[in-house]
Amino acid sequence: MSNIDINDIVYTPLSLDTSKHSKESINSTILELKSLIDKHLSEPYSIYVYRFFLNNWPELCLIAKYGDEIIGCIISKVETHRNVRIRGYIGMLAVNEQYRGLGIAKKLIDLNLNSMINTYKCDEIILETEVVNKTALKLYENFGFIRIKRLFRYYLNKHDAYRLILPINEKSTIRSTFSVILNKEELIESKY
Amino acid sequence: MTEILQENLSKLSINDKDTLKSSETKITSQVNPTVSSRANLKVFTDVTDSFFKIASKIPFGEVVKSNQFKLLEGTHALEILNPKLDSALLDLTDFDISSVKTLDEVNWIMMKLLGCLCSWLDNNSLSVSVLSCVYIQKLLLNYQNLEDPKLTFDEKPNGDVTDVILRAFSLGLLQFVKFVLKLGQSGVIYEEEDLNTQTMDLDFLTKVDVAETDNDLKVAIELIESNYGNEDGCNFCLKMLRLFEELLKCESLLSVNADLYTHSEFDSTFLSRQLQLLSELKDQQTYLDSLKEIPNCFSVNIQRQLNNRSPPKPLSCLPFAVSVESLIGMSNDLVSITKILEITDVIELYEYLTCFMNRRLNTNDPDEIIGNHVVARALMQLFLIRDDRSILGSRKWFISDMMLDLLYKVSLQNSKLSKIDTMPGFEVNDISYQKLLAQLESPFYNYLTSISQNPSRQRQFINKELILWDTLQVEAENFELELNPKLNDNFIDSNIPTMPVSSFVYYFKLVRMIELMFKSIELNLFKDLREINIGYWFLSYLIGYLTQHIVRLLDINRLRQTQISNYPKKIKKAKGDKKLKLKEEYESHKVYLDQFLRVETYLKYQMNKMELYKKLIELKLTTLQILNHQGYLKLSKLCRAPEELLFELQLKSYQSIGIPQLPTFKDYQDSLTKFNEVFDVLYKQKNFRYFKSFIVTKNDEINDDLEKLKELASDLHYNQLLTDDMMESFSLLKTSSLSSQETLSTLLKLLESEGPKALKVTIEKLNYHLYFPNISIELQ
Amino acid sequence: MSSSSLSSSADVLHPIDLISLPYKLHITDGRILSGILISIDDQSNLLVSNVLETNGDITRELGLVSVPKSTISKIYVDDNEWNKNIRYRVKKQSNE
Repeated sequence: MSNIDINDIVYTPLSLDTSKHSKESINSTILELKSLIDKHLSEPYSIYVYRFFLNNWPELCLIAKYGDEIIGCIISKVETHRNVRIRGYIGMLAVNEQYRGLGIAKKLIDLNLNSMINTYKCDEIILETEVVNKTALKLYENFGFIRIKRLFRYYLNKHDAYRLILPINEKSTIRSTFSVILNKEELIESKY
Repeated sequence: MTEILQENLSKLSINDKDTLKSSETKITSQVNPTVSSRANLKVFTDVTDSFFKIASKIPFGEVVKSNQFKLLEGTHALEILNPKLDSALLDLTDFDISSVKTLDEVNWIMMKLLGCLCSWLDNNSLSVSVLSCVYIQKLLLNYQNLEDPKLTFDEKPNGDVTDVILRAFSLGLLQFVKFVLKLGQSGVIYEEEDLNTQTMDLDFLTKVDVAETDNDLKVAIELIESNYGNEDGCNFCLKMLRLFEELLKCESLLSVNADLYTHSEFDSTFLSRQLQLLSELKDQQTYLDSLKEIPNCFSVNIQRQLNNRSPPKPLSCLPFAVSVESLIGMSNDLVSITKILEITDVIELYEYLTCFMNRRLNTNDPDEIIGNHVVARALMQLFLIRDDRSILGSRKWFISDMMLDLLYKVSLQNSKLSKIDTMPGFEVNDISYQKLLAQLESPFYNYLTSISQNPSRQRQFINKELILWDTLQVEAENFELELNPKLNDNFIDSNIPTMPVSSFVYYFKLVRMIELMFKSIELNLFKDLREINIGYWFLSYLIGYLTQHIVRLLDINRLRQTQISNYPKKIKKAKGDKKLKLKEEYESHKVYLDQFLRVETYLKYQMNKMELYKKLIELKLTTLQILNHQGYLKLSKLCRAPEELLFELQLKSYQSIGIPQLPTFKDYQDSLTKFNEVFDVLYKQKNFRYFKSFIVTKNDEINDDLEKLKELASDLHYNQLLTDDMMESFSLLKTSSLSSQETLSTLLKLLESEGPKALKVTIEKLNYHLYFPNISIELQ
Repeated sequence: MSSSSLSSSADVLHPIDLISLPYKLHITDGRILSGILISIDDQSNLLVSNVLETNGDITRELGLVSVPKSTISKIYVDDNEWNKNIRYRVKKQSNE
């Protein structure tokens, strides 16, 4: 770990553009991502979970690479929430344990938030995490995420979870019932 | 036995995982009768090559599907040949059900089954718990058999230990599961969150009468009593069978028909017997530890063989001691439900239900927040409110009656509004009035259903309820203000209308606003000192408004008392018809004098409790504001949201509420600035005299408040459970008070001393009052 | 209709025509899955609903299942529905 220069870690969003990368290389990237996530997260995911996230929002899949190796990734989506706000959702975050402690997770979250806020104009960003996952809580809460709700026994291993929200503008602080409905052009719907 | 079987098994399983026992295949195909009929009518052709040729036309990065289908739904799919998502990959194990011959073996199985039952009740699925037992699987599949349904493990008899004893126990267990499934599917608790109701499409003895199973249990009990001696094994077995005899009586709670406040009789002996048996079972641990495990008796087979929409999961079974404790908890919770029949009025009932809602399991894990046992929570709802909206199945009490009763006691009794149905000229107003009362049921019903929810859901319910009360307050105020010029129900010698309905609504709105904030603290939603500071600061405003409003309710109460005592004078002065009329009024009004006095005591109690909370909050806020001055409440450097936005989000639940006028972010900043200005001076001088005497004053005030509360509590004459709960909360409040004082003292001492001070500040929940966790301060 | 003429005329089908038809999928481990095709991705991984799994003589319901291409050995389709779609495509082509 001491030999790793963090400046050599490259962060790029997933691209499905076959004019820039070969189909084989893109597919193998996705397989590598799958394997990284399978190894580090306890929730099992089928291929179609990746189809949902990656085919709809490839730019919101941010990959951390050291040389040729994928050492971390974050996968998110953005959709309209109840027709009143644009809501970003962080689905998965995984970093190879050999590369922990280098601020990679922090960087992935930071860059991902930038995309969601600047490119997608999100009004708020949410995620859920187990109440016992102190590391994840600390990571996100340092960015300003607030615990908006507690969910009873949300996960398979029976722990409660918090829903965390990062407010980007005023819209996030107004109850949906009292919010203004978005115009048709403002609505974001997933392609698939 | 097991070794030979294992050998045979391994010969079979190496290459042929799917060609297993024919007996099982015969049985399981009958579980799905629709399958064969579906397949036979169609002709299927091999299109493998064409299919993939056509599919290869799909451009890179695209997904082909119908527009109606959202790929989001696909994220819950299983996946073929993925070991985490394909239950067909589970290894089957074989078990010979005729191999169990001794009582000790049956005892071991029963012990494990109890652990499986409690694991299911702890929100695991039936497939990994109860259904993982091969005997249970056999019993249910034989029962399911359309051609020849039988309630046995096997066609061949095996011996009494299994065929009579284990069978009776299994049936008792399944009947109890059937009962709890019914509770879980009734819509009063949340499937998945509170209880997993997936049954793998099995029929849980729907057509088997509980009486029949009860008889089977009796026969099994008689068998043991007559054939066996007094060894540990027999005693254990008897207790387990008897336990289920009693557990099956829990359903009787649902057929109770009683009127509130009449001290109805209910035979709850089965509950005391449950508790007795459970406590005796606790003593059998040594015997149980001596029993040998029976391999493969519990397995993942059922996950592979039956309808299964879930991913493969490891088996789950709670240890016996833990299971017994959890059932003891359940039985105690059920006892507390029966106490509703002893309650004497709606005030006590409201307090009792609130107490039930707020009970938490004592745990050493600060991350675990659990309320009453899930069975008790569901039963409480179905016991209290029936399908026809009646309370306890009464013909007299419905939800609307209960709500009205509470409204009368809190503010409406003896008001003019309560009589407009008899007053000429108010017919139209009465119609509006009845409409308003009907609307009141909505938030009240929300309250009634919230008491059975898990702790996290409770907060969600209250969150939703605030809007209901708030909307209602506008309606009520408009109605009463418009009506009052005609009605003239004012305070003595004033134009101020009493507005009993609005006062009632506003009271409960404030109570729930405060509860929401306290529950946010309890559920650990405020992650750091800064957020807790905002929470308590906001609470102190809310409590101020509530205590102010309770004064108003007391004024209404005392007004009515005064009006009653004014009658004799008025009657004396009056003549003829008027005198008679006044006499009549007097008679009908004065019967409520005791009620007014009781409610007065109740309101005083609430007032004192709130004032006590306020003082505790003051202690906390002082500590927090000093910490803020010292820089411990700063936002993280990486924080992406401006503080004002975070503030508003934290208080989002209150955002739409106009009354009371809620403090703003600017008010919050101003209060911190003002404190810092003052504290700066004192800090530079190291002069903390004010704060030291503040601590002493608060200590005395809080002790006085606690004494007053204890007195008022005894005047209220609540039932034992409620009183005990109140006493316990007083003791926790005292602990929290002392620790808050200590925290502040420690802080001041550390600030007084010379030298660098990096402080380590942590928030501790365990053993403190739920709403007042401890802030612990020490040098780093 | 013989299977050879079936396969050549099938060339007219678009990927979307494969959706919502009932299939029987033969899996490499010997299982047969029957269900309705909901979705196909660019690598021919399938998403199938109302899945019935037949393993030897045991049949059971699985619900919604992702079937990766690598696990499929054969695909059988409801003849009737398949031909309907072919006829529809042929008609559409001749109308253009």
